[in-house]
Amino acid sequence: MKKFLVKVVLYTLLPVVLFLFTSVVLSLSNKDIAKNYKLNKDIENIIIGDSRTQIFQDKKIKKTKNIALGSESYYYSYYKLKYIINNNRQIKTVFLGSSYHSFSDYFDQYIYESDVISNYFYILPLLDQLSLFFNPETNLCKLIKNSVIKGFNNIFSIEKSYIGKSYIHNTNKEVSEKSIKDRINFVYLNKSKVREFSKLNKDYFNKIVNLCKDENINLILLKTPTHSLHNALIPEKFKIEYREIVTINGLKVISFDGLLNDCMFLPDGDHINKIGAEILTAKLAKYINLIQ
Amino acid sequence: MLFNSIDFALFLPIVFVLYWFVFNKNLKLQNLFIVVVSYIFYGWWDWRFLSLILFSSFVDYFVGLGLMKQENLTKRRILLLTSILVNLGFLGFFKYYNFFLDNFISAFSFFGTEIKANSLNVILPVGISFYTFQTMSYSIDVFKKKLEPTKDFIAFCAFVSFFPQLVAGPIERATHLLPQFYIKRTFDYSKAVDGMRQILWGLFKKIVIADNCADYANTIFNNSVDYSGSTLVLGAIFFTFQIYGDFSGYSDIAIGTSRLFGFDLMRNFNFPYFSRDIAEFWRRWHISLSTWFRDYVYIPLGGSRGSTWMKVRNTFIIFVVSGFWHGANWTFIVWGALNAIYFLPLLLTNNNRNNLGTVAQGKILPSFRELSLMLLTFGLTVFAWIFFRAENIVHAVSYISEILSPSLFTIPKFTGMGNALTTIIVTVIFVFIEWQGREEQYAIAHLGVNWNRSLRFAIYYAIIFAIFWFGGSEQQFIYFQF
Repeated sequence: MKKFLVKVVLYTLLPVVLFLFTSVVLSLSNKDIAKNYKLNKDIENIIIGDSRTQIFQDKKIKKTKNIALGSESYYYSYYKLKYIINNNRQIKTVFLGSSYHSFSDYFDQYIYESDVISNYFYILPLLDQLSLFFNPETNLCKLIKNSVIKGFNNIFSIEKSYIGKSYIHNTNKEVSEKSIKDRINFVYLNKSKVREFSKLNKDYFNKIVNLCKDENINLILLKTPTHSLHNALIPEKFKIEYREIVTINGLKVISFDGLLNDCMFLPDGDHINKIGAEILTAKLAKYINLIQ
Repeated sequence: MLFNSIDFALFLPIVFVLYWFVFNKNLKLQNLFIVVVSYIFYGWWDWRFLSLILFSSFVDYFVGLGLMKQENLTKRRILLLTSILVNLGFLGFFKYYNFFLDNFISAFSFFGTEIKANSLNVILPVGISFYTFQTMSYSIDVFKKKLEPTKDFIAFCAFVSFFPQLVAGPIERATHLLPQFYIKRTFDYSKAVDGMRQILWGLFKKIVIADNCADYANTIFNNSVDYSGSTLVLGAIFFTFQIYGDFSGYSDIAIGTSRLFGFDLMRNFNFPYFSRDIAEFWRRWHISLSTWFRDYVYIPLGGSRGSTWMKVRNTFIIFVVSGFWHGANWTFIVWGALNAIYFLPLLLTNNNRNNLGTVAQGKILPSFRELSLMLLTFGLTVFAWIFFRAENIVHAVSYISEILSPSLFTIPKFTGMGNALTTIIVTVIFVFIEWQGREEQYAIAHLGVNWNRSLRFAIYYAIIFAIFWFGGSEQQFIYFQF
């Protein structure tokens, strides 16, 4: 028995120690890199959010950097923003993507999805890392593999896994009633029942609001358009909740609702195509020119 | 808790240490500890269902005692019927109530009569199909006087709830597992090492093969109308490997875990995809279930004795019931019936016991004939799995119709196809490893055993690395839904 236990411990210890050592090195390095992450000095505006916000092409908007990333919840946006603001004191405005879907608990699956966690794992506080690591919803094998790869990539590459960029999703699809209903079912319903709100996403949204207040940064919400049928099918509670949150926090919203032709620019009713992105980018650029 | 979860990774070593260092003082304590941790393991899913397994244990324990005292045949039959009704009653209610209700309503509405009845929002208790069959085997064997009923309630509860095999088998026979609870277990080093090796291989099958194949099988099956016939064939093959990796992987982990505690469980899979005919396939696939049905249903019905009609009838009954055991859906019944159709020609021509040994035994490669037979059997199995996986009969039929269309001769194309190549390569390597180990209990049972320690452990670390590197998106074990 002793021989068995000694062997199990010894041979298990090797990969565990190796993993712990790698994690410590990656954690320290990545946090150090994040703390020192510098944008161009002329960047005064940050666009942050999920795939809907990625559509804004920052090359066409002066003094602006789009760091939105697909599937990014406010939980991850908060930590990312904290590092960026701390190290780029020239930032004056944060444009945060926000809409009715932002507070649906469908987002929670992205908080615990290993592919998403791994983008941010090594820049999170230790307690958060442990909490995600031991969360039963996390696919541990994938998390370890992807976070180690991305951790090393962040050290040796200019592009960082947690810093997004302008990107267009779903370029070739055609909108249909089915695709819209599929999106609604996915985002707002869970087996035909209306979803609950994501407490975690709401909490971290408030943290972002407070962070911007504390740092004297102007926070403006960007509400991208949705297909009129999609909009009509969104359960009312999410619309009410969104409006309440905006009102309570006294936030300014740039709403792009109604600016795009449904069928031409919204392939799945919820994400914007390339041509629509160009139109909205131009409008945002115009707005920024006006205020700055 | 899932075998491939961090909960289990913490649970197992704690239970192992306590079992061998604290609770090994005497037999009763060992068994009691098994009962407690098994109930914790089962309650981890939903503590409410502990009452079911406890009740089932009580009923069958007292039925056993009653059978011991009772010599009157009628009364013995009543006792046996009590056990069967209670166990099948639970199964029928939790698993089949809504199915029967829906079909009852459909049948009446077909004849123009509308019936209103409320379906129940019933949660299927994990493992109910397994432990009810396990306890019924006890009652039946005691009735047949093949087994002395036990007076040791703790040992009996441990037999019913033994955590490694509680939720997805192997479905153990009381004659095999229960006596192991009568003897105090002592630690066996080689058994424990072998158990660890089998757990490792089971995890590889589940996490690398099954979970990766599941991603593509789900993509293709869930959007089958969007794909060509060739892609649908690929989807069916992915599912074929998913279900094998998933279920046999679970069985390997269950058997390996049991060996850590000094128990031997029955083998549940014997390289079924290397079968040369369907009869051989059913001797190698889900052995615990197929032998259960053979011994407790098929043989009492007369088996393969009697007239041709009797053989046909019994064969259909056994395969259809076996299909129905898997779930409350017509697809499972059709899957079972299809396997019966495959099996019958072999049975009726007395060719169902042609291939009893291992294919290409002692050889490196199969002969051309053996390879052809394996591919044919594999093809028939893949076709049948389409029904098993489809949402309903309409879905299965439309899936097969598209396969049989000219789009079968196009190049497969689906979302995520680039990444699928890695999965295909890994699966091919997996098939080679399984082939080389086909004469063993599990593929890597003796892999590298005679090599030097460094090389042997390099193989184990390579498998662990592969689990982390190639692991798929976490999927529930398929057989948990049964």
